Amino acid sequence: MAFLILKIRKESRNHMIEIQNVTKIYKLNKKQMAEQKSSSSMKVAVRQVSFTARDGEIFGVLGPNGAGKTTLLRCIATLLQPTEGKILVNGLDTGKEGEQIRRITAFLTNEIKLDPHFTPKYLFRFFGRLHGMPEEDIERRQKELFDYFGIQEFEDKRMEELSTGMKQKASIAVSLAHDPDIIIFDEPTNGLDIITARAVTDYLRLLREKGKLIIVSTHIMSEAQKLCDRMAMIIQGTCAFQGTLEEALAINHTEDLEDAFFEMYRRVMEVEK
Amino acid sequence: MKATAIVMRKELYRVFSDKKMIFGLFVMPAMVVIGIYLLMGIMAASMMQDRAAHEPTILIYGASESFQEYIKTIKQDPQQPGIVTIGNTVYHIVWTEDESEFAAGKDRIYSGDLDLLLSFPEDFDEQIMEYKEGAAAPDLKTFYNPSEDYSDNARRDILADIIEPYRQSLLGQRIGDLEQLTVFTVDKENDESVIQNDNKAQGKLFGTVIPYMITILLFAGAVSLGTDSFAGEKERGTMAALLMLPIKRSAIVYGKLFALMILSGFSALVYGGAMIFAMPLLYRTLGDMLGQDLRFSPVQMCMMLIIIVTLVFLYVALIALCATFAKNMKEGSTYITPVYMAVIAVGVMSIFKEEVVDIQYLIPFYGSTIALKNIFTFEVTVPGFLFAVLSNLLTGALFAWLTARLFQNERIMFNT
Ligand SMILES: Nc1ncnc2c1ncn2[C@@H]1O[C@H](COP(=O)(O)OP(=O)(O)O)[C@@H](O)[C@H]1O
Ligand SMILES: [Mg+2]
Repeated sequence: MAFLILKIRKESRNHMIEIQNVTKIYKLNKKQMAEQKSSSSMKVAVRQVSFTARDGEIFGVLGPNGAGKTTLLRCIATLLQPTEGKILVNGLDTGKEGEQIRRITAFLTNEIKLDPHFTPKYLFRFFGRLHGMPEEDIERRQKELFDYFGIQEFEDKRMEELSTGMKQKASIAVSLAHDPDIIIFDEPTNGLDIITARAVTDYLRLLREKGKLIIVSTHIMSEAQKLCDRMAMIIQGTCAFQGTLEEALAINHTEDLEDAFFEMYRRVMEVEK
Repeated sequence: MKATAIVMRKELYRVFSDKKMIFGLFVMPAMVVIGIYLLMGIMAASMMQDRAAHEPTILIYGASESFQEYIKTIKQDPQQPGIVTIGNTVYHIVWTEDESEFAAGKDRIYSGDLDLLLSFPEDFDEQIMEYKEGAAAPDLKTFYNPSEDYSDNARRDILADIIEPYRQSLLGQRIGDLEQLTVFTVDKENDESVIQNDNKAQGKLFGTVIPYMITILLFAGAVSLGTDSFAGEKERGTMAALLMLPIKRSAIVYGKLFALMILSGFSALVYGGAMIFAMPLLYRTLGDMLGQDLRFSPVQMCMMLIIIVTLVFLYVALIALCATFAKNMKEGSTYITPVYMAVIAVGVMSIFKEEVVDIQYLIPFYGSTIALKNIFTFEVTVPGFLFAVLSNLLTGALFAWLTARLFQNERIMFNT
C-alpha cells in the first residue's frame, strides 16, 4: 500500500524548485581581488533572487557571463550554500537535506568532468552504484542512455582518448544514470559541435515530456528562446525578469528574446547610473 | 560504509590498471632496495678483500716461563716458530716484555690491527708455585674487540685451545693440592678487556637507517598518489561529480584514504620483501665485516611492520590534509614539500637520539622513528612500542577527520 502511494506520488509530477530571496556572497582572497579588480573582499554573486520552477518545464536561467548563473545553479545542486535566503527542492532544504536532494537530482556542466583514466562503461557503473542502484537497473539504464547518445562505440575507451563531444555525451549519460527527476544543466551546449548540441537539447525536451523538471542556464538567447518555457533573467546577480517566454517577448514588444534581453539590460544599466 | 568501499575500489583500480603506476609504486621500490643492498654488499665485499691479507696476531706481554715453555712444546710448529694453528686459523704469536708495546697493543686492538692481547701478571709462575690457601689466584688479562670478527674469534680460540689446556697442565703438576682447583683466573680483575670502537658498533646504524629510509620513500610515494587523489581530482574537475552523489563527503574522503593506505601498505610490503630478499646478499659480507648479525628476528619484523603500517596511515592522512587545501597538483606539492622536509628532519633527529623515555614515543613521527631504530637494537620497550603505534593511529585519525571537515568547506572545495 505504502509502495503504491509512493509510486503515485512519483508519477504525480510534483517536482518543484523554490528559490527564496537567495543571496550568495563569495569571500575573496587577495589574488581573487586582484583578478576581479575588486577593492572589496566580498563579491555578491547573486542578490536576493526568487523564483519557482516546476516539473514538465524547462526553466532557463539567462544572463551574460559573470551574471551569477553558475553560482545559483550550484546552490540549487547543494554544492554551495546560499549566504541568505533558502532553496527548497521538493520541499527539502538544500542546506539541511542535501543528501536526499542529490538522490533525485543531476547537476551537469562542462566544468564537471569524468576521470580521464576510466572508460564510460566503468564510470557509469561506478556512479550507478554510488547512487545505490541495483546492478540490473544500472545495466538497463546504461543500455538506454548509451543507445540514445551512441556511446557504445566508445564505451570501452578511456575518457582521455575521447573527443570533446564524446566526453560530453558520456558525462551526460553518467550524470543521468540514476534517472533523476530534477536536472540542472549549466550551459548545456557550451563548447559542443552543432550535432552534439542538438542531441543534447532534444534529450532535454524528451525529459520534459517525461515530466522531469529541467533548469538550464545559458547566455545564448537564441538557444533559450527555442528551449525554455519559462525563464529568469539574471543581470549582475539580480533577477531582472521572471516569467514565460511569451511574457518576456510581450512586455518588450519584440519577437526576439535577444532583443528583449538587451532591452532589459539597458533598463538595469540606466537604473544603476 | 558501502560508498566508502566503492570509492576505495575505484581508487585501487585506478592504480592497478595503470602499468606506469604499478611500476613506479611496486616494481621500482623493489629494484631500489635490492640495488642499494647489492651496492652495499659489493662495497663490503671489496673491503673484505683488503682484509683477506689479514694475519691474525696475538701479542703476549710478560708471559711466564712455564707458558712460553708450554706453547713451544705443545702447540708450536717447530719448523715455524711464532706460529700457532687452531682449527683453520694461523695465529702469529708475538712475545714482548716491553710495557710501551703493551700499551700500544691496546690501540692496535681498537684499530683492528691486532686481534688479541694477553697480559701476564709479574711472577705468575712464582704465584702459582707458592700458592697458599685463601690467597687470590693470579689473574691473566685479555684485551680484544668484540665488534671485530677476527678479534672475537681469536679470544675464543686462544682461551679454549691454549689457555684452558695450559691451566689443566698446571693443575696436573699440582695434583697433591686437590682442594684448590683455581690455578689462575682470566679477566677476573680486568674491566678493560673489551676494547671496542663505538663507531663500528654503530654498524647497527645501517640497520636503523634502512627502515627509516623506507618510511621516507613511502612518504614520497604516497605524496604523488595523495596529491593526485585529492588536489588532482579538483584540478581535473572530477571532484564535483563525486560531491553531487547522495553520499556523505566523509565517505569519499575515507574511501580515498583507505585506498591510499592499501597502496602505500603494499608498497611497504614490497620494500620489506625486497629487504628480506636482499638482506642475505648484504649480511653475508657486511655482517662479517661488522662482526654482528644483521638479520631481523620475526618479532622484530612484526613490530617494524606494525609501526610502518600505522605510520603509513599517518603519512597518508597528512598528505590528504595538505592536498585538500590545494587547488591543483602543483599547489599540492608546494604545500607538502615543507611538511615532507619536517618529517625527514624529525626522523634524522631521532636517529641520533640515544636515551628515550617511554612517553616520548607518543610524539607523532618522532616516536615512530625512535621505535624503528630501537626495535632493531632490541632497546624498544613494550609501552614505548604501543605508544608509537597509538600516536600514529590517533594523529592519523585526527588528520583524516580534519580532511573530512575540509570537504564540507565550500571555499576549499570550490575556490576556482
Ligand atoms: N569561487 C568563487 N570565488 C569568488 N568569486 C567567484 C567564485 N565563483 C564565481 N565568482 C564570481 O561571482 C560572479 C558570478 O560568477 P558565475 O556564477 O560563475 O557567473 P556566470 O555563471 O553567470 O558566468 C563572477 O563575478 C565571478 O567572478
Ligand atoms: Mg557560468
